[in-house]
Amino acid sequence: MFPPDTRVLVVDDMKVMRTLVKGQLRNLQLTNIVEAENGDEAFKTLKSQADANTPIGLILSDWNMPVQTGIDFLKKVRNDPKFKGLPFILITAEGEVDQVKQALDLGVSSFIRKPFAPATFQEKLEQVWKKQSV
Amino acid sequence: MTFQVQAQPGYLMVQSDVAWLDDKIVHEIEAELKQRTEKVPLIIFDFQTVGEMHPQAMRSLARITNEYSATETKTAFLVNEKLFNFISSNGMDRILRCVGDLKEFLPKQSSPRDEKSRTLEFLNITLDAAVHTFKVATKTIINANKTFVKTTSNCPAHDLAATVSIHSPEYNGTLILAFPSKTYLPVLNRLTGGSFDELTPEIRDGVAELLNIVLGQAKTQLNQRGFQIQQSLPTIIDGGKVNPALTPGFRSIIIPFNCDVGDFFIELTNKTATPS
Repeated sequence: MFPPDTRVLVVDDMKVMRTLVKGQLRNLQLTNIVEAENGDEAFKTLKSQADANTPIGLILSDWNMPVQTGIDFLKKVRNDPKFKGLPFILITAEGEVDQVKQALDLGVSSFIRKPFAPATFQEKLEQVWKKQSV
Repeated sequence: MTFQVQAQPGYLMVQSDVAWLDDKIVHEIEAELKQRTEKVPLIIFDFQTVGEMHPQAMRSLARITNEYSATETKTAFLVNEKLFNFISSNGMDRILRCVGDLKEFLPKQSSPRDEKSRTLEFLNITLDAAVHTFKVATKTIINANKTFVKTTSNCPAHDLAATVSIHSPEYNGTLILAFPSKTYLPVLNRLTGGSFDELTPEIRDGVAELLNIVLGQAKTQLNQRGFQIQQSLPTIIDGGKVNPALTPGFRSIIIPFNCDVGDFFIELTNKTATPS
């Protein structure tokens, strides 16, 4: 599993959802959490944290957000050589084939489909960590 | 969610998004399928977001496929590229019929659906999505009560609502999820693990999130059935006893729900051929 000092960026326009995800992360001893409300704000946070030498180690992002969606944020992250290999999990209520394909093509690390149970959340993070540490 | 089985018109959909599909889960799926008494011509296993599959799980799926083929029930596996490569490298792609797109399996729509059947189909799928969402996200069992057409005098009371517009070539309308605060607060506490006892700005967007999840779930199913739905971002309506107005040329259907912490409702508004 991701080490407890991993800095996690939680991106969602809904405060309640950020609270929910933060709660799940805390249950997994991941308490170093930074938040953003949309993809644009998240990318700025990602860069500023890297500049401040406190890099983000995991991104959990919603898909449907105003200003900049999760998929556009993913695109920006993967196009930046500094963040190319950063674990990026999309949390989505949708599961349409075209969208899943698009995210996979762009290099998403994994999906968490809403609604999700705590066990699924943990399992997905463990899977991504396992992949990351190979 | 480890997996869920949903009955769709003409087929059963088994969905799972586990990171690691093992043999135990496949046996649980098999047991759930055996409990279903309805005979269906097709079972679709949607494993698009499954991370990896244990070889024994794959063998069990092949066995299940063979057993169903003896009863003339077809099976299809909707998989991602990684799973497909795994299945084909094990030579199982001839047994497990893998597809990348569900449309090639679903019955073709021979004629455009009429307004009533579109609404009914939308309602049923949305209802299933709501039941599943509340069960998984808030551990709450909800029950749908008798639906009715909304008039100016029969709209249930509520304090907080979220509304989202739905656009599609066949279907245009609005979906609303509305709660009185006495139901919303315990539901939200179950969703977030919090202990909120009043309706604060901090938690008001939870209603929009719940609606988003319900519609997201429903949209996947509806679009597999040709609805081509596009949804906008939800808007929150709060403050006092909100009661979304009736719009001429549109009809609103209310689905009241009850659960152990109180009542709430979903409202579906769609354009009618003739103004009601």
